[in-house]
Amino acid sequence: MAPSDFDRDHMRAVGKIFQRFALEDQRSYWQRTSDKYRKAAGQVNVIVAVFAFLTGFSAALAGLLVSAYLVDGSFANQGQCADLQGSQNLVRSLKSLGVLQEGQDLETLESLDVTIEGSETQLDDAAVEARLAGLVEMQGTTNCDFIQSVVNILMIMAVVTPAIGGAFTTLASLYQWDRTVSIYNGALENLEVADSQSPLEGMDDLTYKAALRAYIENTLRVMSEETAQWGQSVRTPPKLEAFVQEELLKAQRATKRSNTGPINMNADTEEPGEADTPPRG
Amino acid sequence: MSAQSPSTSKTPPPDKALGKPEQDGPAPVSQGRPDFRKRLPVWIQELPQFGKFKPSEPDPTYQLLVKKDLEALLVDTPEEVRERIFEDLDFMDYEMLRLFRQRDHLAKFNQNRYRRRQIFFLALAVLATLVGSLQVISLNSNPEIMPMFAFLETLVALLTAFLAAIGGRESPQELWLTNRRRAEQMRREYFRYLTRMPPYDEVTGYQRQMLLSQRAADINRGMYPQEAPGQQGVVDDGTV
Repeated sequence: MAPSDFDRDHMRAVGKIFQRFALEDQRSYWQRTSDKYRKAAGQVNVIVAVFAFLTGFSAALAGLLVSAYLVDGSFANQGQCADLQGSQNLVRSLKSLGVLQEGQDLETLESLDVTIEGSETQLDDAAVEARLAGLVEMQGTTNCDFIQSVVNILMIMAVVTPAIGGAFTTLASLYQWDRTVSIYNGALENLEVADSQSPLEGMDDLTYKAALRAYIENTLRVMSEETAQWGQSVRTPPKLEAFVQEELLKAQRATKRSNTGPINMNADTEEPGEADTPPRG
Repeated sequence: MSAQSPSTSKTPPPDKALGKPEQDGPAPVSQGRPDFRKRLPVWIQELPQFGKFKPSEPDPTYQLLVKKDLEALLVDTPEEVRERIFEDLDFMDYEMLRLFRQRDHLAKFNQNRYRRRQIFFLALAVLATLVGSLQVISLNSNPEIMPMFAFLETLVALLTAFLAAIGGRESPQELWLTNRRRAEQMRREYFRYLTRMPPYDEVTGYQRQMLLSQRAADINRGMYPQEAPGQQGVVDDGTV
């Protein structure tokens, strides 16, 4: 095989390898990750919104139930629950004072059997007994305990849900899904520009080499810039023409150097020449 | 653009291997676990591993180029060229891939550590808010259980201090980003060498191999050589 054929075949082969295992692999990674992150961001956003809704809803419902059923003069039951609560508190107080025995409650209490101090007059009369009977009946017919339980649950929800929603907001900040998606999308667009510079079969060897180099260098640059700042400064790669010029200069240098001995291996210390600096897009 | 057909072309490229990847094309090559929490919502898949990190060691067989796919890709390539490419790959396996595997694994390991730590802090913050709020509610309804909530609140504060103390020795975020930067630089260097891009285009034989070994070692210690002529080398001191 002639050296030029070998070079062309080699360039073609490494071009294929680069396309498949570097460019397409990177593109596949960015596309898949973007899709995944977009979904994750969407899911977390829904969760945050649901918890925000639940916070407001539970607080509003708790307020409604309290004003409808649990306060004095409530509009749904004319303050029955508040009256009942007051009576239950009274019974508790009487128990703690020793006026009522343990085990006695509204249901078992028929009269208070309390005298006014000094006069020995019975405090409870028919009206009080009727009132007590009314309270017992009210306790049986109203659902004040249930409503109170619901209100308690809603109050806990109103406290818990914003905390959980806040946690998910922080989670989204930690993972930066939306930002990463925009970074990867920018990198993908620039990768297409680099991909557009790949060599074509009709090119002569020098142009083919320059095109291959432009294609590979620009792809590597997009990858490098995405990594360096997670894509914040991903720039459009330089154009093919600059690389063609550069390859021409390189060919001239190689010709001049043909009899001047081994080159300096440490390319890092080489002063960057103007021709060696590809333009930034 | 593919190597044989413009990317703007509506017709499929003649060489399938160089064609555009479909959205559901081959998955990117990775040392990670592709089936990790596959059936769960995506945001849960993204959560860190809370137990022992797996894989616990870098995969010694991991390759940036899948050999089977590579063989298929080079089926029409002259034997002489194939040999040269496989020689390069064999040389890089020890000189470059060995270091890449370690850095890549370390990056994943520290990313997991960083996220796990942040999520622990997040959980403690939520817990502190909850306990504090319940404390306020109980003040009205059940003041007798206040000491229990006070104890829980103290416990949360102690746990936060404990986590901060054990995690303060070395920053997993810095280690994650540093190792990721080095691994990605090595990945690019791998393809640069294989495709004979500068600075590997003007040297041959052992000089080219020595240049790779030197640059790989430099990247591994955080000294990034220039990637292309005209760019300055960069020293990575590990700061983020």
